[in-house]
Amino acid sequence: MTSKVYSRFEIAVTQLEAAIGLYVSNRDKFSVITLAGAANTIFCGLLIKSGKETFTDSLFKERSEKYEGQLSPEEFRSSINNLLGINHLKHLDPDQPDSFEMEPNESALATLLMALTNYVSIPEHDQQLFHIFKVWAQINLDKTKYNVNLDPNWVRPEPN
Amino acid sequence: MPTFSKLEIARSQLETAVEILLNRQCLSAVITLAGASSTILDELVRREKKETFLDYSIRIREATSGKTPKKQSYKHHIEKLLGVIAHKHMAITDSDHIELDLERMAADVTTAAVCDYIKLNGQSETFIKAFLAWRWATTPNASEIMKQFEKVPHKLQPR
Repeated sequence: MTSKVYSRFEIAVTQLEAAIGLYVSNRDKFSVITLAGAANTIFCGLLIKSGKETFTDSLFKERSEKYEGQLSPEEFRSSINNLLGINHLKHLDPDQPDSFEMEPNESALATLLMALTNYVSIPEHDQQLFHIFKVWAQINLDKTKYNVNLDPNWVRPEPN
Repeated sequence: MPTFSKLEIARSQLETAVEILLNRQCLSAVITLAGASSTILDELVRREKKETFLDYSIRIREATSGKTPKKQSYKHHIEKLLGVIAHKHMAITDSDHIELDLERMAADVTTAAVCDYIKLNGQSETFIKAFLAWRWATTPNASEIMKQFEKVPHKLQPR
């Protein structure tokens, strides 16, 4: 066993790759969320450090009128993590209940997409990884539920 | 919306971590999954009024140094030592590179989580048996270490 020097980006990418591998092979979704969430935190750190905007920050800006005076960007970021269950999967405080409600499939996909969005904003990213996941999504995800072709004008069809 | 117990979540993360570790796949994924699982298991063991891996580590530290470290700062110290912090945090002041022994860290953080898991669920499940067998087989001088451990005074044994 020996120590080696790793880039933070490399550490995050390997976690994202593992998360994608688990997701596409229909394995444990809690692990997908945990890994993609951890990778996303590192991608966000790298983006902030280089003066770039993260996905959550751009979402906050887009909706700033709605949240003005109610939520700070940090609180908004934390609320997204709570919504996706990311915090629940790595914390248990003494005053928290020992169970909680979540939709693991939806949260896993959303966390992966959030991490992938931040990943492709980093110049060193490999377009191939994003492309592979996109092709997998186009083949396997429900086209009436998800915008698998990344069409900016896509509107979710009304359920019958 | 479905409800999940924290034990169920920690178990899933730990089982996935063990599988990835034993298949010698992504060691960074092992560290993150076992680290997350360990945090949840620590609190669950505490709720059962049993001694956690962290509390045992603090007790050993206390006995060997004469000082009692604060729980939160010692938890952070252990998480740093096991590579967990490097895998889930990135502060603006952090350098872009970090030196890690991924093999050692992945094995050690999984061991810590397995110790707490056994406190709650025993060691009869296949993935726990597989990990324990793997740890025994891959630890140099495992028999000698156990002989030394048996000589440790009773007050320094895990409770």
